[in-house]
Formats: sequence, structure tokens, C-alpha cells
Amino acid sequence: MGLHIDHISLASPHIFRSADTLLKETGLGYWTGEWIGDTSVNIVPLGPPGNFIEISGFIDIFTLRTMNEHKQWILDITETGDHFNGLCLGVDSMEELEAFAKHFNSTVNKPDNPDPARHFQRADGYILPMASTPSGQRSPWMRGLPNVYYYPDRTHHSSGQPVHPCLNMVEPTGIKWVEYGGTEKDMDDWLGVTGSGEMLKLKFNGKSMGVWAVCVGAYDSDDIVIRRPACTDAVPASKFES
Amino acid sequence: MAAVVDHFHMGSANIYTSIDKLQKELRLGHYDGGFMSNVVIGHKAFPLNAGVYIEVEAVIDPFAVPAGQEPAFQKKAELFGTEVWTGVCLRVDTMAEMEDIAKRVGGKVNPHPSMRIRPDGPLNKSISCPQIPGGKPNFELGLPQWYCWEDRMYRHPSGMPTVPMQGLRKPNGTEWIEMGGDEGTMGKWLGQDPKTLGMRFNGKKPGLYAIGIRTDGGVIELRRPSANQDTLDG
Amino acid sequence: MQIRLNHFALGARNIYEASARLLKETGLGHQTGDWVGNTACHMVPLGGDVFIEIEGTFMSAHDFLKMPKPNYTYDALDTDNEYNGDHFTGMMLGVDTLEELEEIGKRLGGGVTPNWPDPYRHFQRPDGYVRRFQSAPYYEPGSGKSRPRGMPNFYYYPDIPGRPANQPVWSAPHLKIPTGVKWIEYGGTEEEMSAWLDVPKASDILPFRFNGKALGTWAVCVGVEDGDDIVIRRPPTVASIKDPSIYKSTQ
Repeated sequence: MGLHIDHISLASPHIFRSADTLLKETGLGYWTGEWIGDTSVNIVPLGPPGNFIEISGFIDIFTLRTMNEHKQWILDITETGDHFNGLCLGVDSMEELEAFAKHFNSTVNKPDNPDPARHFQRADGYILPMASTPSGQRSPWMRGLPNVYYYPDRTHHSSGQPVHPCLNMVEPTGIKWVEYGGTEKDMDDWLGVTGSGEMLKLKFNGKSMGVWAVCVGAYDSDDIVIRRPACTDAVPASKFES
Repeated sequence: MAAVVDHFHMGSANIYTSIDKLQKELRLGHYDGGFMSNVVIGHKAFPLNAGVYIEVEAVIDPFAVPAGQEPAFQKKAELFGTEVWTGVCLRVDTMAEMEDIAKRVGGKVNPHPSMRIRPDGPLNKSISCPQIPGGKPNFELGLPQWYCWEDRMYRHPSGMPTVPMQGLRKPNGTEWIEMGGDEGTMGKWLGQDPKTLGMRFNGKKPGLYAIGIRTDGGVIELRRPSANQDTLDG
Repeated sequence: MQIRLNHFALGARNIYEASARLLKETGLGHQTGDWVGNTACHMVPLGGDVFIEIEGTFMSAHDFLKMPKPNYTYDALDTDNEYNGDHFTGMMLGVDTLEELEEIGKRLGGGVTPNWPDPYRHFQRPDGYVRRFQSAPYYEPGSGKSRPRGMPNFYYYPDIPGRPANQPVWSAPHLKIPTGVKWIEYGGTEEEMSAWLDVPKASDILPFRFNGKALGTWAVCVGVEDGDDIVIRRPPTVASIKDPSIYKSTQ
């Protein structure tokens, strides 16, 4: 089975300030222009085999004219600054994704919705086809749990697009480990696997569920550790467990 | 799993004038791919989406090439006064498939990956097959070779952004590929029906002659001499 | 003193959606990544050193929610129109020296913005470039003075090559190459603008066409290579504000 980490979401109150701060802190460059609905993501590639951090946040405050649970959650977890709010895993086939959907007792969000507004879009007009599971209004991210993705076409994957020519950049060489809340058993139970720690390079810290840190290698440079609190530190997972 | 089209290779005597001519003819975007690790060959690419691209290569350091050892495509490009098609390259997903193919055709996987240094620094690495001992290069025989990309097609050349230009079309892969030779020989080499790759055959000397590129403005034909032709007439 | 066109500000609820829509509508490409303070911008070169900044103000959402209301720009963009709420929020003219800018500021009863040392007070690009600028007229907070809404302000950039008009856009299908602004449809009258610019006739120095409506930009006509002129039509913010008296200062 090809279960792997695909990307990590970092919720931000101000995606440009956060990207600039991360660049100055770590030397990791980013590119801009990808968006979906009221949200844009500044992408921080982390190197091969194709991972990235998406620094995500509202770019259309008119969306707050109609509130819902998800928007309120984003406001709440970013009130005190950046919080990691999503570990996004990946598989290499639709069959594997469907197996996860069955395990989650859910369905697959299909990649072929003809409405471009339902997909991530880029400034060059590219529309990103992406399938994921579980589906439904309440994302597992709110409980600090990962979801799973499959890309029918990985050639335009966000991890491989070039960054802006940022000053003092380092070249990332890939994720070395991710510090996660809870225990390996919590993750194994959620995913229906054994040994998620080794499989996904996760180290568990026993705190509330979610990403707490990401370690990235860098060419000709020391490893980089990006530490931000997990979203469940700002809004407990228990709020969404009904 | 059946192989799919990965890229088309074009050889040129002057990469800059070739790209200028091609972009005006095709109205498709391109980018600078850097240079090959042998330091001799420069590279530019036209992404066609759908996991496919055209790469155009030319010698960019003639002083590094021993006399008489210029790439065959350069000699033909100079002789014909235009870029030439060198060949078609296919893609499979796993090294296990590469090993099977290499074994089936009596060769092995090339132990030396193809390495290209991009303008922004990182290496672009791909592995090809087959390498057949004592055999002519596959392209000279008009036969495709296969590639496998590491890391889930990380930074695959077909997905890289292009230089902004006025009036570019939006491509979406290829509709057809015109090859020399015959379908039977090709089918035997490929181990799959050539029609699955959109191939059709013109009976000329084996090699690549033209491709039909799908775009949002219809299918556009890109025709150039094959590097295997002896003269412009065939 | 030569007064030039510098840029137009186009306020949008969602600068990404607005840029994509403008690209589809006109073929004009844009750059991403610029930001200053609570505003992010996508820059649209128009040729001839002029650009449109498609601006999204109000980052972070938390800062906006705490902001005193009513808010002039928000209320204008909140007004529906056929452009998903897009409004021209400003026209900015340019001069070539700081001395000229100071002269204008003084003539209009104010000064010029300080050359803020904090880089975050200026436009930033992801590549680290800080695009310093100063503008006029600037009125000290609490002075009770403000620029008449809908009248252009003036800019001075020390670094011309760094301006958005001279930077590359994202590659996209069917881009058009702009060749410069051909005319501007502006509200108000020739007399009002001439007085503001302190020139005998405003349309002699800049390609204005005045429509007598609310002050502000109503349309910009841009030439392109190999194609028909493009007219970008959006209402100015002033046109969508029902009662200007409830707002405290120029935005």
C-alpha cells in the first residue's frame, strides 16, 4: 500500500505575513496564487518525493456574511496565530482511496466535478483535480485527524511548482519526521493500519491530536524544524465529537 | 500496466532560434529546462499537459564535444536546416515494469539515470530502458524507449510553468503520433497495441515524423523531418 | 512638472476570483504575491509603465471584525454589481521627484507620507523586494483634513524598474500584451479635475473623458498588440455609497 504524507495545512490569519515569517525563520521559499472559494493557499514546497505545507487563510472576508461551523472554526483556530490544522495523507490509486472511504464509512469526494469553483485553481488557469476521503460537512481536521487524497494527475502537483525567488532560500530535501499529538494507537485506529509511526514518519507526543512540528531536510544546511501549535490546542477536538 | 506517452524528443542546431520558431508556429508555452549533466546539451520544453511534453535539445558547448562526435541529431538538423524529431519516449510507473520490459527486449535498465540541471538548481532525474548490448541506439532504429520517474512524478516536465506569452493555446496531450516503419514491428517492440498510444504509420524509414497536439483551438500538427532520414525527401 | 498615470486600484471581494475573471474577460495577465499591511494585491500591467492593482483589503479577518464600522470600502464592495462587487477604489498619478510630490502636498494643504522605515509599511514581494513609495496629499491624523473622495492622489517611487508594470505576469492561455492606457472615463468635470491638478485643462495632460457622474474611475481603455482595444468598466466606490456623511475619513 502506498499510504504516505502528501501535505500539511497551516491555518493562518494573514497568509502573506505567515509565509514571509516562515521564509525569514527557515529559508523555505513559497509560491502564491492558488485558491478555492474564499480561501487562498501560499505553498511551501518541502522537497521530494513531493510534499508541501499550504499556508491557508481567508482572502475574502465577504464570506463572513454567511457563517457556518467550518468558517467559525478557522476564525477560532487562527485568532492567536498560525496553527497546523490538517495532515493530508495520499495514496497512489483510486482503488486505495475507495478502500479508505469504506474504512471511514464514508464516500470519496470525486475529482471530476465540472464546476471549476469546486477545485483549487491557480493564477495560470490550472484547475487541480483532487479526490479525497472522508467526505461530509465536518472535516476530520476539526478533531485533529488526517484525511486521505488521490491525485489522478500528479504532474502539476503543488510540491513541484517553482517558488518565488525569495532571498536567502534553502533547497528542501524532504520531510524527515512529523510530530503528532496522541499516540500511535490513536492514529492506527483512525486509519485502520498498524505501525503508522514508521509508515508515515510520525513521532507521537501525547498532546491533543494534530500536527505540532515538521522536520524538513535542507541541501547543504541543517535540518529545519517548523513548530506551531496544533489546531486542537486552540479549539478542542471534543467540540466536534458529537 | 500499458505504457503511456511521456515525451517527444527534438534535436536542434540552435536551441534559441528553434524555440522562437516553434513557439510562433505552435502558440504553446515553453520554459528553460537547463542543461544535461554531461554539460554539453541544453534543454527547453513545451509542456502539453496530460503528462506529456516536447523537449528540444541542442549542443550548447561545442568545445566540449570531440570532433566528429557531435550528436547525430545535430548533424541532421544542420543538414536539413531545421529541427529534427529524434523519437518518442514512453512512461511506466514502476521500476519493476521497467525491468520486465528491458528483459523482454533483451536488454537492461540503463544504469546511468538521465540527469538534467534545472535553471533553479534541483536535478531532474529519470531512468530509461532498454540498453541493449551491441545494439544501435533505439532512436536510430525508430523505436521508442521507456522512462520511469522517481518520487511519484515529482516535478515532471509536463507540469512546469511556462514563460508568459501573448495568445498561447491551452494544450491537452496528443491525439496522434505519425511513425515510420510498420505497425507489426512496432507492436512487437512495444508489447502493446501501438493504437493505444495514438500511433499511425507512414511506411517511411523508422522514426518519428509528426504529432497531432490537442489544444483548446483544435488539433495542431507539428511536422519535422526524422533524424533517421538520410535526405529531406526520405 | 510632468504628471503621469501611475496606477489604478480596483477593489475586489476576492482578488483571486477577480483576477481570473479579468483574465477571461480581457486576456490581461497578473502577478501574485504583493502585499502591504492588511492588503494583498494582484498586479495587472497595462503597458507604458501603468498597472492596475486588484486589491483585497482586510487581512486578517480578525482585524476586520474588530475594525470600527461602518467601513467605506467594505460597504462599497458589499454592493452587488455585475462584476461581483468590483469597484475602482482609486486612481493614482505619479511624479518624478520627491520635491514635486512635496510641492503638490503643500498646494493641497497637507504634506507627503513619511518614508516609513518599517518595510512592512511598504509593498512587499515574496522575493524580498520592498517597493518604497511616498504619496500626497497626506494629512496628519486628527488634522480634520482629508482628500476629497474620488479625487486621485499622487505617488513618487524611487525605483521605477521595480514597479509592477515592469514585472512578468503568470503565463496563461490567451494572454494579450497591453500597450498602454488610451483613455480614462472619469466622474466629475474637466473643471474639477483641472483645479485638482492645478493645470489649465486636465484632458490635455492625461487622456480623461469626463462623464459628470460620481467622482472616480468608471472605465479604463487599454490598447493591446494584435487585437482590439480593451475597455475595463467598473463603478467607482463613491457611486455605491448611499450616505457618505456616516464615514469618518478617506479610505
